[in-house]
Amino acid sequence: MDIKDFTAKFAAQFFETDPSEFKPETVFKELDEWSSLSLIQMIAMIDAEYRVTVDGQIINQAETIQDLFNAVCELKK
Amino acid sequence: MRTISGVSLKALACAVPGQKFTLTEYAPNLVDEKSARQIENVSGFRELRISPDEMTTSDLCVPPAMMMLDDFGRENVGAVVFVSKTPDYVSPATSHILQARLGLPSSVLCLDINEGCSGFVAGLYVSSLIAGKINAPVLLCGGDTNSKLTSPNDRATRCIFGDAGFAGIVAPETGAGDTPFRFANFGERAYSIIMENSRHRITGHPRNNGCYFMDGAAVMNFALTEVPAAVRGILTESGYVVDDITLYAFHQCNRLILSAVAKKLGIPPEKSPFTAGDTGNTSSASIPLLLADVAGNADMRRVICAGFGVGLSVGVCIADFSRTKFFTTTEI
Repeated sequence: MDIKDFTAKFAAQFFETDPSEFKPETVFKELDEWSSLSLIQMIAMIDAEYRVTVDGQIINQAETIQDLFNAVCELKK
Repeated sequence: MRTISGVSLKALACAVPGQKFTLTEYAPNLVDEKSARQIENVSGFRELRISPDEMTTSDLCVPPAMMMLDDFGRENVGAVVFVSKTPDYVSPATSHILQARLGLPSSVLCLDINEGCSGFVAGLYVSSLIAGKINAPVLLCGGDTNSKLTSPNDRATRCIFGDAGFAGIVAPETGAGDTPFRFANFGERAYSIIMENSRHRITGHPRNNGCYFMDGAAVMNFALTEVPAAVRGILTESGYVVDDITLYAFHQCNRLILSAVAKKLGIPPEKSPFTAGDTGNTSSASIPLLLADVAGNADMRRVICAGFGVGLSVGVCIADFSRTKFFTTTEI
Protein backbone atom coordinates (compact mmCIF):
# COMPACT_ATOMS: atom_id res chain seq x y z
CA MET A 1 0.00 0.00 0.00
CA ASP A 2 1.34 3.43 -0.77
CA ILE A 3 -0.10 6.82 -0.01
CA LYS A 4 0.23 8.12 -3.59
CA ASP A 5 -1.92 5.30 -4.92
CA PHE A 6 -4.41 5.69 -2.06
CA THR A 7 -4.73 9.43 -2.69
CA ALA A 8 -5.39 8.79 -6.39
CA LYS A 9 -8.08 6.25 -5.58
CA PHE A 10 -9.58 8.65 -3.06
CA ALA A 11 -9.63 11.44 -5.68
CA ALA A 12 -11.26 9.14 -8.27
CA GLN A 13 -14.44 9.10 -6.17
CA PHE A 14 -15.10 12.78 -6.92
CA PHE A 15 -16.60 14.16 -10.10
CA GLU A 16 -16.32 17.91 -9.75
CA THR A 17 -13.19 18.53 -7.69
CA ASP A 18 -9.90 19.06 -9.53
CA PRO A 19 -7.60 16.05 -8.93
CA SER A 20 -4.74 18.43 -8.05
CA GLU A 21 -6.63 19.36 -4.87
CA PHE A 22 -6.08 15.88 -3.43
CA LYS A 23 -2.86 15.53 -1.44
CA PRO A 24 -2.03 13.35 1.59
CA GLU A 25 -2.39 16.41 3.81
CA THR A 26 -5.79 17.42 2.34
CA VAL A 27 -8.44 17.87 5.05
CA PHE A 28 -11.02 16.06 2.98
CA LYS A 29 -14.14 16.97 4.95
CA GLU A 30 -13.48 20.61 4.02
CA LEU A 31 -13.83 19.86 0.30
CA ASP A 32 -16.96 21.42 -1.24
CA GLU A 33 -17.89 18.12 -2.81
CA TRP A 34 -17.52 16.07 0.41
CA SER A 35 -20.93 14.78 1.58
CA SER A 36 -22.50 11.85 3.38
CA LEU A 37 -22.48 10.10 -0.01
CA SER A 38 -18.70 10.50 -0.19
CA LEU A 39 -18.50 8.65 3.11
CA ILE A 40 -20.19 5.57 1.69
CA GLN A 41 -18.19 5.85 -1.54
CA MET A 42 -14.99 5.68 0.55
CA ILE A 43 -16.22 2.60 2.44
CA ALA A 44 -16.89 0.92 -0.94
CA MET A 45 -13.55 2.00 -2.41
CA ILE A 46 -11.53 0.83 0.60
CA ASP A 47 -13.43 -2.47 0.65
CA ALA A 48 -12.85 -3.09 -3.07
CA GLU A 49 -9.24 -1.94 -3.23
CA TYR A 50 -7.88 -2.91 0.17
CA ARG A 51 -10.27 -5.68 1.27
CA VAL A 52 -11.08 -4.03 4.58
CA THR A 53 -14.64 -3.04 5.47
CA VAL A 54 -14.26 0.11 7.56
CA ASP A 55 -17.07 1.66 9.58
CA GLY A 56 -18.10 5.27 9.24
CA GLN A 57 -16.39 6.22 12.50
CA ILE A 58 -12.95 5.40 11.09
CA ILE A 59 -13.52 7.88 8.28
CA ASN A 60 -15.13 10.47 10.53
CA GLN A 61 -12.18 10.37 12.92
CA ALA A 62 -9.64 10.97 10.14
CA GLU A 63 -8.77 14.58 9.35
CA THR A 64 -6.56 14.11 6.31
CA ILE A 65 -6.25 11.55 3.54
CA GLN A 66 -2.99 10.46 5.22
CA ASP A 67 -4.88 9.83 8.50
CA LEU A 68 -7.36 7.62 6.68
CA PHE A 69 -4.57 5.80 4.87
CA ASN A 70 -2.85 5.16 8.23
CA ALA A 71 -6.11 3.83 9.72
CA VAL A 72 -6.60 1.44 6.79
CA CYS A 73 -2.97 0.25 7.12
CA GLU A 74 -3.54 -0.35 10.82
CA LEU A 75 -6.69 -2.41 10.11
CA LYS A 76 -4.88 -4.51 7.53
CA LYS A 77 -2.22 -5.58 10.03
CA MET B 1 -30.88 -22.99 4.81
CA ARG B 2 -34.55 -23.85 4.38
CA THR B 3 -35.70 -25.51 1.17
CA ILE B 4 -39.23 -25.53 -0.18
CA SER B 5 -40.24 -27.94 -2.94
CA GLY B 6 -43.30 -28.32 -5.13
CA VAL B 7 -44.33 -24.65 -5.01
CA SER B 8 -43.56 -21.89 -7.50
CA LEU B 9 -44.18 -18.24 -8.28
CA LYS B 10 -46.70 -18.57 -11.11
CA ALA B 11 -47.02 -14.91 -12.06
CA LEU B 12 -45.88 -11.45 -10.97
CA ALA B 13 -46.96 -7.89 -11.80
CA CYS B 14 -46.02 -4.46 -10.47
CA ALA B 15 -47.42 -0.94 -10.38
CA VAL B 16 -45.79 2.45 -9.90
CA PRO B 17 -47.35 5.89 -9.46
CA GLY B 18 -47.56 7.72 -12.78
CA GLN B 19 -46.18 10.77 -11.04
CA LYS B 20 -42.39 11.07 -11.13
CA PHE B 21 -39.93 13.82 -10.24
CA THR B 22 -36.26 14.59 -10.78
CA LEU B 23 -34.31 15.23 -7.59
CA THR B 24 -34.29 18.99 -8.12
CA GLU B 25 -38.04 19.00 -8.75
CA TYR B 26 -38.78 16.86 -5.71
CA ALA B 27 -36.33 18.26 -3.17
CA PRO B 28 -35.40 21.81 -4.27
CA ASN B 29 -34.73 22.71 -0.62
CA LEU B 30 -32.10 19.93 -0.37
CA VAL B 31 -30.29 19.81 -3.71
CA ASP B 32 -29.27 22.15 -6.51
CA GLU B 33 -28.38 21.03 -10.05
CA LYS B 34 -24.79 20.30 -9.06
CA SER B 35 -25.50 18.25 -5.94
CA ALA B 36 -28.35 16.43 -7.73
CA ARG B 37 -25.87 15.42 -10.42
CA GLN B 38 -23.46 14.16 -7.76
CA ILE B 39 -26.19 12.10 -6.11
CA GLU B 40 -27.31 10.70 -9.47
CA ASN B 41 -23.75 9.73 -10.37
CA VAL B 42 -23.40 7.72 -7.18
CA SER B 43 -26.90 6.44 -6.41
CA GLY B 44 -28.05 6.01 -10.01
CA PHE B 45 -31.42 7.64 -9.21
CA ARG B 46 -32.40 10.26 -11.80
CA GLU B 47 -36.12 10.24 -11.04
CA LEU B 48 -38.33 9.06 -8.20
CA ARG B 49 -41.83 7.62 -8.49
CA ILE B 50 -43.89 9.45 -5.88
CA SER B 51 -47.45 8.56 -4.89
CA PRO B 52 -49.97 11.40 -4.61
CA ASP B 53 -51.12 12.12 -1.04
CA GLU B 54 -54.29 10.07 -1.37
CA MET B 55 -52.59 6.96 -2.85
CA THR B 56 -51.82 4.13 -0.40
CA THR B 57 -49.84 0.91 -0.72
CA SER B 58 -53.03 -1.12 -1.26
CA ASP B 59 -53.86 1.21 -4.19
CA LEU B 60 -50.51 0.21 -5.70
CA CYS B 61 -51.27 -3.50 -5.16
CA VAL B 62 -54.83 -3.68 -6.47
CA PRO B 63 -54.16 -3.28 -10.24
CA PRO B 64 -51.41 -5.93 -10.35
CA ALA B 65 -53.43 -8.19 -8.03
CA MET B 66 -56.44 -7.91 -10.35
CA MET B 67 -54.23 -9.11 -13.22
CA MET B 68 -53.23 -12.14 -11.14
CA LEU B 69 -56.79 -12.98 -10.13
CA ASP B 70 -58.26 -12.45 -13.61
CA ASP B 71 -55.71 -14.97 -14.86
CA PHE B 72 -55.76 -17.52 -12.04
CA GLY B 73 -59.22 -17.11 -10.52
CA ARG B 74 -60.34 -15.97 -7.08
CA GLU B 75 -62.24 -18.98 -5.76
CA ASN B 76 -59.26 -21.19 -4.94
CA VAL B 77 -57.06 -18.56 -3.30
CA GLY B 78 -56.25 -19.74 0.23
CA ALA B 79 -54.46 -16.72 1.64
CA VAL B 80 -53.53 -13.13 0.95
CA VAL B 81 -50.13 -12.10 2.30
CA PHE B 82 -49.26 -8.39 2.34
CA VAL B 83 -45.63 -7.31 2.93
CA SER B 84 -45.06 -3.66 3.70
CA LYS B 85 -43.87 -1.14 6.25
CA THR B 86 -46.39 1.41 5.00
CA PRO B 87 -49.79 -0.25 5.47
CA ASP B 88 -52.95 1.75 4.77
CA TYR B 89 -53.78 1.79 8.49
CA VAL B 90 -52.08 0.75 11.72
CA SER B 91 -55.21 -1.39 12.12
CA PRO B 92 -56.87 -3.25 10.47
CA ALA B 93 -54.22 -5.14 8.56
CA THR B 94 -54.12 -4.12 4.90
CA SER B 95 -54.56 -7.76 3.84
CA HIS B 96 -58.17 -7.45 5.14
CA ILE B 97 -58.68 -4.35 3.02
CA LEU B 98 -57.27 -6.21 0.02
CA GLN B 99 -59.50 -9.25 0.60
CA ALA B 100 -62.57 -7.04 0.20
CA ARG B 101 -61.23 -4.83 -2.59
CA LEU B 102 -60.16 -7.83 -4.65
CA GLY B 103 -63.34 -9.85 -4.08
CA LEU B 104 -61.49 -12.74 -2.47
CA PRO B 105 -63.44 -15.45 -0.62
CA SER B 106 -64.19 -14.73 3.06
CA SER B 107 -62.41 -17.99 3.93
CA VAL B 108 -58.91 -16.71 3.03
CA LEU B 109 -56.22 -16.24 5.65
CA CYS B 110 -55.26 -12.54 5.81
CA LEU B 111 -51.70 -11.93 6.92
CA ASP B 112 -49.64 -8.72 7.04
CA ILE B 113 -45.84 -8.87 7.34
CA ASN B 114 -44.03 -5.73 8.51
CA GLU B 115 -40.84 -5.90 6.46
CA GLY B 116 -38.92 -3.61 4.14
CA CYS B 117 -36.15 -4.25 1.67
CA SER B 118 -35.84 -7.97 2.44
CA GLY B 119 -39.64 -8.26 2.33
CA PHE B 120 -40.09 -9.80 -1.11
CA VAL B 121 -37.95 -12.81 -0.14
CA ALA B 122 -39.63 -13.09 3.29
CA GLY B 123 -43.07 -12.84 1.65
CA LEU B 124 -42.19 -15.42 -0.99
CA TYR B 125 -41.01 -17.78 1.75
CA VAL B 126 -44.11 -17.40 3.93
CA SER B 127 -46.42 -17.62 0.90
CA SER B 128 -44.62 -20.74 -0.31
CA LEU B 129 -44.92 -22.37 3.12
CA ILE B 130 -48.66 -21.64 3.26
CA ALA B 131 -49.35 -22.65 -0.36
CA GLY B 132 -47.51 -25.95 0.13
CA LYS B 133 -49.24 -26.71 3.40
CA ILE B 134 -52.82 -25.89 2.40
CA ASN B 135 -52.34 -26.98 -1.23
CA ALA B 136 -53.90 -23.79 -2.59
CA PRO B 137 -52.67 -20.63 -4.33
CA VAL B 138 -51.56 -17.68 -2.20
CA LEU B 139 -51.82 -14.09 -3.37
CA LEU B 140 -48.62 -12.31 -2.33
CA CYS B 141 -48.92 -8.50 -2.37
CA GLY B 142 -46.53 -5.85 -1.15
CA GLY B 143 -44.65 -2.66 -1.68
CA ASP B 144 -44.41 0.69 -0.02
CA THR B 145 -45.31 4.35 -0.20
CA ASN B 146 -41.88 5.23 1.16
CA SER B 147 -42.19 8.89 0.18
CA LYS B 148 -44.83 9.39 2.87
CA LEU B 149 -42.25 8.51 5.52
CA THR B 150 -39.22 10.47 4.38
CA SER B 151 -38.59 13.82 6.00
CA PRO B 152 -38.67 16.75 3.55
CA ASN B 153 -35.51 17.94 5.32
CA ASP B 154 -33.44 14.73 5.12
CA ARG B 155 -31.39 14.40 1.95
CA ALA B 156 -30.14 10.89 2.76
CA THR B 157 -33.65 9.40 2.49
CA ARG B 158 -35.63 12.00 0.55
CA CYS B 159 -33.45 11.73 -2.57
CA ILE B 160 -33.41 7.94 -2.89
CA PHE B 161 -36.80 6.45 -1.98
CA GLY B 162 -39.64 5.87 -4.43
CA ASP B 163 -43.05 4.18 -4.25
CA ALA B 164 -44.30 0.96 -5.88
CA GLY B 165 -46.47 -2.10 -5.35
CA PHE B 166 -46.52 -5.67 -6.61
CA ALA B 167 -48.64 -8.81 -6.61
CA GLY B 168 -47.84 -12.40 -7.40
CA ILE B 169 -49.43 -15.83 -7.26
CA VAL B 170 -47.53 -18.51 -5.35
CA ALA B 171 -49.02 -21.94 -5.92
CA PRO B 172 -48.34 -25.66 -5.61
CA GLU B 173 -46.95 -27.09 -8.83
CA THR B 174 -46.28 -30.72 -9.54
CA GLY B 175 -42.65 -31.16 -10.47
CA ALA B 176 -41.57 -27.73 -9.23
CA GLY B 177 -37.98 -28.03 -8.04
CA ASP B 178 -36.32 -26.96 -4.82
CA THR B 179 -36.26 -23.32 -3.78
CA PRO B 180 -33.64 -22.79 -1.10
CA PHE B 181 -34.04 -19.79 1.22
CA ARG B 182 -31.63 -18.29 3.70
CA PHE B 183 -32.20 -15.48 6.21
CA ALA B 184 -29.76 -13.52 8.36
CA ASN B 185 -30.93 -11.03 10.97
CA PHE B 186 -29.05 -8.41 12.94
CA GLY B 187 -31.54 -6.86 15.33
CA GLU B 188 -28.68 -5.29 17.27
CA ARG B 189 -28.22 -2.98 14.27
CA ALA B 190 -31.91 -2.01 14.10
CA TYR B 191 -31.07 1.63 14.85
CA SER B 192 -29.19 2.01 11.54
CA ILE B 193 -32.50 2.27 9.62
CA ILE B 194 -35.36 3.28 11.87
CA MET B 195 -38.39 5.50 12.25
CA GLU B 196 -37.86 6.80 15.76
CA ASN B 197 -40.99 7.89 17.66
CA SER B 198 -43.21 6.36 14.97
CA ARG B 199 -45.19 4.33 17.57
CA HIS B 200 -45.01 3.62 21.27
CA ARG B 201 -41.24 3.61 21.93
CA ILE B 202 -40.44 7.27 22.47
CA THR B 203 -36.91 8.66 22.55
CA GLY B 204 -35.97 12.13 23.71
CA HIS B 205 -33.96 13.23 20.71
CA PRO B 206 -35.32 11.35 17.72
CA ARG B 207 -33.51 11.53 14.41
CA ASN B 208 -36.04 12.57 11.73
CA ASN B 209 -38.94 12.37 14.21
CA GLY B 210 -41.44 9.76 12.97
CA CYS B 211 -39.79 9.53 9.54
CA TYR B 212 -37.05 7.30 8.27
CA PHE B 213 -33.54 7.82 9.55
CA MET B 214 -30.76 5.97 7.74
CA ASP B 215 -27.12 5.74 8.76
CA GLY B 216 -25.65 5.43 5.26
CA ALA B 217 -22.18 4.35 6.41
CA ALA B 218 -23.59 1.63 8.68
CA VAL B 219 -25.83 0.39 5.87
CA MET B 220 -22.92 0.27 3.42
CA ASN B 221 -20.80 -1.60 5.95
CA PHE B 222 -23.68 -4.05 6.54
CA ALA B 223 -24.30 -4.57 2.81
CA LEU B 224 -20.62 -5.21 2.09
CA THR B 225 -20.27 -7.81 4.84
CA GLU B 226 -23.61 -9.56 5.35
CA VAL B 227 -25.00 -9.69 1.79
CA PRO B 228 -21.93 -11.40 0.26
CA ALA B 229 -21.88 -13.75 3.27
CA ALA B 230 -25.54 -14.71 2.75
CA VAL B 231 -25.12 -15.17 -1.01
CA ARG B 232 -21.95 -17.24 -0.57
CA GLY B 233 -23.72 -19.25 2.13
CA ILE B 234 -26.71 -20.19 0.01
CA LEU B 235 -24.48 -20.98 -3.00
CA THR B 236 -22.28 -23.29 -0.94
CA GLU B 237 -25.18 -25.04 0.74
CA SER B 238 -26.93 -25.55 -2.60
CA GLY B 239 -23.80 -26.83 -4.32
CA TYR B 240 -23.54 -23.92 -6.75
CA VAL B 241 -20.78 -21.49 -7.65
CA VAL B 242 -21.26 -17.83 -8.58
CA ASP B 243 -21.29 -18.56 -12.33
CA ASP B 244 -24.08 -21.17 -12.04
CA ILE B 245 -26.62 -18.44 -11.25
CA THR B 246 -28.32 -17.02 -14.34
CA LEU B 247 -29.43 -13.72 -12.74
CA TYR B 248 -28.73 -11.88 -9.49
CA ALA B 249 -31.82 -9.88 -8.54
CA PHE B 250 -30.42 -7.67 -5.80
CA HIS B 251 -32.61 -5.23 -3.91
CA GLN B 252 -32.20 -1.95 -5.82
CA CYS B 253 -30.99 0.08 -2.82
CA ASN B 254 -28.74 2.28 -4.95
CA ARG B 255 -26.22 1.66 -7.72
CA LEU B 256 -23.15 2.20 -5.56
CA ILE B 257 -24.04 -0.47 -3.00
CA LEU B 258 -25.32 -2.88 -5.65
CA SER B 259 -22.19 -2.65 -7.78
CA ALA B 260 -19.90 -2.87 -4.74
CA VAL B 261 -21.64 -6.03 -3.52
CA ALA B 262 -21.65 -7.58 -7.01
CA LYS B 263 -17.97 -6.76 -7.51
CA LYS B 264 -17.08 -8.28 -4.17
CA LEU B 265 -18.85 -11.51 -5.14
CA GLY B 266 -17.25 -11.57 -8.61
CA ILE B 267 -20.61 -11.20 -10.39
CA PRO B 268 -20.44 -9.55 -13.84
CA PRO B 269 -22.55 -6.36 -14.19
CA GLU B 270 -24.77 -7.91 -16.88
CA LYS B 271 -25.92 -10.55 -14.37
CA SER B 272 -26.65 -8.03 -11.61
CA PRO B 273 -28.64 -5.27 -13.31
CA PHE B 274 -29.61 -1.93 -11.80
CA THR B 275 -32.95 -0.89 -13.28
CA ALA B 276 -34.29 1.53 -10.66
CA GLY B 277 -32.84 4.74 -12.13
CA ASP B 278 -36.26 6.22 -12.82
CA THR B 279 -38.18 4.77 -9.86
CA GLY B 280 -35.94 5.11 -6.79
CA ASN B 281 -35.41 2.63 -4.00
CA THR B 282 -38.83 1.01 -3.65
CA SER B 283 -37.93 -1.32 -0.75
CA SER B 284 -39.81 -4.65 -0.99
CA ALA B 285 -41.09 -3.84 -4.51
CA SER B 286 -37.63 -3.32 -5.99
CA ILE B 287 -36.86 -7.00 -6.71
CA PRO B 288 -40.30 -7.60 -8.32
CA LEU B 289 -39.84 -4.46 -10.46
CA LEU B 290 -36.40 -5.64 -11.53
CA LEU B 291 -37.67 -9.14 -12.38
CA ALA B 292 -40.56 -7.72 -14.42
CA ASP B 293 -38.16 -5.36 -16.23
CA VAL B 294 -35.62 -7.98 -17.29
CA ALA B 295 -37.80 -11.10 -17.65
CA GLY B 296 -38.13 -10.77 -21.43
CA ASN B 297 -34.37 -10.80 -21.97
CA ALA B 298 -32.81 -12.56 -19.01
CA ASP B 299 -32.25 -16.24 -18.31
CA MET B 300 -34.67 -16.83 -15.44
CA ARG B 301 -33.86 -20.47 -14.72
CA ARG B 302 -31.73 -19.99 -11.62
CA VAL B 303 -32.26 -16.59 -10.06
CA ILE B 304 -30.84 -15.39 -6.78
CA CYS B 305 -33.12 -12.84 -5.14
CA ALA B 306 -31.28 -10.94 -2.40
CA GLY B 307 -33.21 -8.48 -0.27
CA PHE B 308 -31.50 -6.55 2.53
CA GLY B 309 -32.17 -3.55 4.69
CA VAL B 310 -34.34 -2.54 7.63
CA GLY B 311 -34.03 -4.98 10.55
CA LEU B 312 -31.23 -5.10 9.73
CA SER B 313 -32.04 -8.19 7.75
CA VAL B 314 -31.02 -10.20 4.72
CA GLY B 315 -33.21 -12.66 2.80
CA VAL B 316 -31.92 -14.66 -0.16
CA CYS B 317 -33.35 -17.45 -2.26
CA ILE B 318 -32.50 -19.34 -5.44
CA ALA B 319 -35.62 -19.69 -7.56
CA ASP B 320 -36.55 -20.96 -11.00
CA PHE B 321 -38.68 -18.23 -12.60
CA SER B 322 -38.39 -19.62 -16.15
CA ARG B 323 -42.09 -20.58 -16.17
CA THR B 324 -43.27 -17.53 -14.24
CA LYS B 325 -45.54 -15.17 -16.17
CA PHE B 326 -44.32 -11.59 -15.83
CA PHE B 327 -46.62 -8.70 -16.66
CA THR B 328 -45.59 -5.26 -17.89
CA THR B 329 -45.46 -2.76 -15.01
CA THR B 330 -48.56 -0.57 -14.78
CA GLU B 331 -48.53 3.18 -14.11
CA ILE B 332 -51.39 4.39 -11.94
